[in-house]
Amino acid sequence: MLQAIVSGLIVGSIYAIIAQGYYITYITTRTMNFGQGDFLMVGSLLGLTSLTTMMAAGINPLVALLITMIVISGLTAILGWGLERIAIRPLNNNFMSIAWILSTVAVSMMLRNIAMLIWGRNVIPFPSPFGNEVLRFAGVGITMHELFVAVCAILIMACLFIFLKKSMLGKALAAVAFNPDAASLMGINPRMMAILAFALSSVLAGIGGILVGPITNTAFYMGATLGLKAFAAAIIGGLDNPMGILIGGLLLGVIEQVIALGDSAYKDASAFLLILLVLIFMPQGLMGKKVKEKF
Amino acid sequence: MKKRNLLFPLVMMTSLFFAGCGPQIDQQASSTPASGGQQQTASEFNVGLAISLSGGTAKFGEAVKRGVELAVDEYNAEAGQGPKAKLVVYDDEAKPEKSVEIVQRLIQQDKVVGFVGPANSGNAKAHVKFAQEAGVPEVIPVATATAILEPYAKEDKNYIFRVTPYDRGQVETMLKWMIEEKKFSKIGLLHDTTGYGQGGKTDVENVLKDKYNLQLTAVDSFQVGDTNMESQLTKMKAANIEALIFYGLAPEGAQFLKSREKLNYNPLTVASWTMGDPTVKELVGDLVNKDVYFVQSFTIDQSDKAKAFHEKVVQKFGEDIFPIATAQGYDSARMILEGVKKAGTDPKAVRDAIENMDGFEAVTAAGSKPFTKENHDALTSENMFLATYKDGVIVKP
Amino acid sequence: MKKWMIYAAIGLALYAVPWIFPNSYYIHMAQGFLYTYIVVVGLNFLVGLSGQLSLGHAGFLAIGGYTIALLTNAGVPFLGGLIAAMVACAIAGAVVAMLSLRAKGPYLAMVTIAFGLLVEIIANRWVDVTGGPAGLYLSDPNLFGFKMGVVEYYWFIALVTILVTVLTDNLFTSRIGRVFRAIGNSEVASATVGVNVRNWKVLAFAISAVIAGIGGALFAFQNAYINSDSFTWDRSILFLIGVIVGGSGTRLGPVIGTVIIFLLPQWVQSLYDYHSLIFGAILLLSLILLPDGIVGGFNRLRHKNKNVKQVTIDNELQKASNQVTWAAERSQTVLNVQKAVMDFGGYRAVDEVDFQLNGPEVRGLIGPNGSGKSTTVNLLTGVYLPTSGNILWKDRDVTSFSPHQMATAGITRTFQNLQLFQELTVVQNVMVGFHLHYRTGFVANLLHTRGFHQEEQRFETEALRLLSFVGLAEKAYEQAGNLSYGEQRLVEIARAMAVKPQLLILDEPAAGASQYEVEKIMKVIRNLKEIGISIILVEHHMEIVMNVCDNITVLDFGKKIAEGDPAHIQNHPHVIEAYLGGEEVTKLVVGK
Repeated sequence: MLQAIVSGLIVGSIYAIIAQGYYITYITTRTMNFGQGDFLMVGSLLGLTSLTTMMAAGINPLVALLITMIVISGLTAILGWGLERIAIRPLNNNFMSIAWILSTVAVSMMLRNIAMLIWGRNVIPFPSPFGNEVLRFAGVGITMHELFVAVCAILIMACLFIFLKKSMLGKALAAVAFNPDAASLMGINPRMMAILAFALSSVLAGIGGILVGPITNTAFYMGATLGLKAFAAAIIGGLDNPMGILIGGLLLGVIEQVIALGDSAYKDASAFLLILLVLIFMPQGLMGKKVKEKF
Repeated sequence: MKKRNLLFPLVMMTSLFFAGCGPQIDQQASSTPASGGQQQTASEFNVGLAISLSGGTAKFGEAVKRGVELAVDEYNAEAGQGPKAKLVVYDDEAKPEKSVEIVQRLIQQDKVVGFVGPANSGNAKAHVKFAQEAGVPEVIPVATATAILEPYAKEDKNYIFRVTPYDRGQVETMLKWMIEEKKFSKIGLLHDTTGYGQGGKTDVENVLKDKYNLQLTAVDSFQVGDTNMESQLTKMKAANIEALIFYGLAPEGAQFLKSREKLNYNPLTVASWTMGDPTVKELVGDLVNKDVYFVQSFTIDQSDKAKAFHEKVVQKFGEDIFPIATAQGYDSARMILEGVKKAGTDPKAVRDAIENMDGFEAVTAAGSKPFTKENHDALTSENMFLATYKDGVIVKP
Repeated sequence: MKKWMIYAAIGLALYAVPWIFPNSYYIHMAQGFLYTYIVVVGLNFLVGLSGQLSLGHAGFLAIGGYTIALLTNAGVPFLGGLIAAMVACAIAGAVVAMLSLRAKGPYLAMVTIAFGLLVEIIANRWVDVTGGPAGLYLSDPNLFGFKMGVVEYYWFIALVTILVTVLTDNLFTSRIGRVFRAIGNSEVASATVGVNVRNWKVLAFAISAVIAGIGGALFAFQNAYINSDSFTWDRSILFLIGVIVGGSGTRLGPVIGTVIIFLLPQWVQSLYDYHSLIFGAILLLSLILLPDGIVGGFNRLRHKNKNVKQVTIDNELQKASNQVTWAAERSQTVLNVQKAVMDFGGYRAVDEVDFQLNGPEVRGLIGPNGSGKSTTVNLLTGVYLPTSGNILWKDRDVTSFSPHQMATAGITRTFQNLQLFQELTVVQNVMVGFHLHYRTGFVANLLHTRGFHQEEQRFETEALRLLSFVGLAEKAYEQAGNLSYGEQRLVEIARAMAVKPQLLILDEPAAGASQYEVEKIMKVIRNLKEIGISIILVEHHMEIVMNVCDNITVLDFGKKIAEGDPAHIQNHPHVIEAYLGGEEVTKLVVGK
């Protein structure tokens, strides 16, 4: 049971990291990247390539990991910028439009195909820079890599919260979300903010990819499930509340593992039943804001 | 408004009238130009490959495709003045309806003499009807479900052949070793929820019951893409099993071994042939050496032919991503091509030639006379054996 | 009847396919095309018409497929199974709709995704019943003992396709379709003309699910085999792509969309290494270049050159422009608001407001910005549920009524922020207003019976009369969204009049209106008063307020500060203070 909870928390924290990406773009542009999972896949495979190349060149694994994370952040940020340019901005999204769902799915299909051509159809091992060593505390096994994921998750969440709540730029993001016209009168460029949001969102997916790689397997089709689960986490928590998303992610991770203790056949089903239950009673998610429409 | 009331009965009536002397489809088969498909002439004939090249089983497709390409190239190199084989490949995307579409296309448009495929048992079940009814031989290189060959087993002419260790054979091999040699009686089963794992589960339960009058002590499942199998293993541990059967694909096999290590619980594990997929070893390294046994019908060094084949694959493609699947794909394609050599390009004659084939030199463990009228599985439990990893190399225990 | 000629031509063309392509692969493809088309039609109905979203339609496909498969395997005849599949899907669709009623946007998307995945998981894991990934073999489809071969089954699918097309076309062009479109444009406005939005949304989902279920049932028998690998999430996405790329909400869109999602992959089949790259690129390009879809884009081009239907103003319309009446019961319209309170979080927008209407009168509701006028209107029309207090209407407690119940009871409204059905024409907007007065049922609308045509005709004439009354008859067939701001306000008033209410609440009707329109509005108000309708007029425009109102209620900071006839209000010190500021200013202005 304890083991299940610990493992659930680790996986859940990855869901949460990816899901924050949905949050950032949702609050600024009311759109999301439905291909977030495939951005994660790209981050993971690029990270793998970069990491193995550097380690083969004899660079200290930890240094290599750090450099990889920086490089991948840069690359996925560019990818996010590209996504905003080709799949979000040209569509002139209005509130009702759902074209962005399909345009981001289109991009993700293309990415998946390209990744298949580059990295092949095989599942590729992603060796953790920390090795496969298992630490044991009170009967609970945890790998070094999982510890690393936990630390990273806490760091990323902390940075994100500080960025969103304290920094000028973070406040600007929220301002655009609240009222784009007013924000642009205040000298905030909503377009820049949209680009920033998508870049940030993609970086989160990319980092998530590096973290998740050694836990799952890396292959061109790895993104779909993770992207959906993260979306589920975001919805459970409430799309407009980063704290809610964190809780949603952890909750989903833990519930999955605990249900698996009972009957693993319906583990996946449990996640989606949970969503339905939450949304029936709380249509804005656990911690989402209730918005009263004005007429 | 009156027209409307008349229109539909009218259409209905005419359609019923014509139904009696309806259109004759697939009649003048050869005279219809295959507009959407690949043209073939007298100096060329088509061989099909209908397998998944995207989706979760894409890797099987890729590996088989390499074997088939190799077989076709070799055939053409030897063909001299005779007709050349042309390979037509379609992706079934691991979906049954897609699989039916492309098999229909291979048969009707590309007029293949025979085809190789698929990787997914569900897809095979969906489309075998069309191969059988059109009278085009199909050789299955990967899909292992026991039931695939059953629908037409009693037909006068069964067009479906298979060169892969079918599930029941694998299960018999496993259980024979576990129960007859090791005298285990408390056996657990861990399977995936795809057709592969669920098919395996049915076979394990049936063989246990029919042959040994036993039941599984514990059964549990996992999903493709699961990040760990700790919960499942915890339950196995609680059930106090002596040995565990693992029925799943390579990536999940690796997850399973990782979770075993993490929990520090290493039950003796017997797995299906996919555990011998080199990916498992790549993914988990030394963990494969810990009490893991699996069914094999092919090892790279089992014969000189196999060794030579492996080297050819490496030479042509750089690496051998999945030796057994490539070998099975190669043998599958060669059976069709050998059939063409003997009987020409009429699919029905090719079928007869495959069924009555003698003196076949397989790179897999298939015999020189792989099929009989009753048995269309080239690899039977006699060709299968249990293997294990020792210091990272697959050996017989 | 040109329409029926087209259907007949399509029917004959479909009928002839087996002779033109006497090849079982082509016939198989034709079957696949048609059942995919059917599902896309169903989804188009949901997405394009009622503005809802489903990312889980493969779930309905599965329910339809498995229902017919299990029943026919249990010995039920094919057609019986088909009907059962439709029923099962209707129920499933209604359930999904009810689960997702409160969810909006991405949350709604998630509900449907979760539904689709749950169905997939159940199909996969409930092996004893569904066969899981090992699947189920079915017998050949059998129609009244006649075994259908490939060609006959194709004809059967073609026949069903034609039926589905005709019936959905009928729905599209009936009041049912109009109401769905209205809901898609503005839920709250639909509700205030008496549409029970919740039920209609459930209906839309159920219809869409039934159509998808027919597709699923036909699919199941195509290969006489189904397994759980067919009903994946990406298939749901594919259907949605078909709807959007084809042109959502258009009637031809699903055909084009199906060509894209079904035939296009066939053409690039040999390029198996690149097909999702190609498909993704085409999808992206079409979304960018043709935001309304292929058919939508084409229609727009066509509309630029096409003149809209002109209305000839005959004598009757001329007469209507001066006076409209309807059989309003000249009853005492008695509204009694008792201590109504509305809290938003910590903020009290309406604070213990009391007021009464006794008999037909025009009541002005004024106050500075943020004084709670709009909130009061929302309370009176059921848009908000008051935190406490009561609203009595003709001695009935209507406090917790929803907007459509209020409309049924005789109270409707216009909106300060325009809530027109932008995609509908002006006359259609008004026809939706007649919602509560339509008598034909679903079946009549589905089949386009004689009664349906007569009723449409009748309400179209009535709508034109109303439009003539507000001076917009010439623009009756233009798209509402293309009208000027002031004109749109007049359309809203005409629409509200179509409800034939006993209490009409006008929320700032003159905001942004020209002098001409202001006069129109005043004329409307006087006319309504004459025939015995009560009006609550929320307005900043003092000229109107002082000219037409019998009594005026003044709000400030959520509280009622004054009430009385215009003269009384004009000199009321509290009112002047509220509008102009502190006591000093009051003294300065009033000079006391």
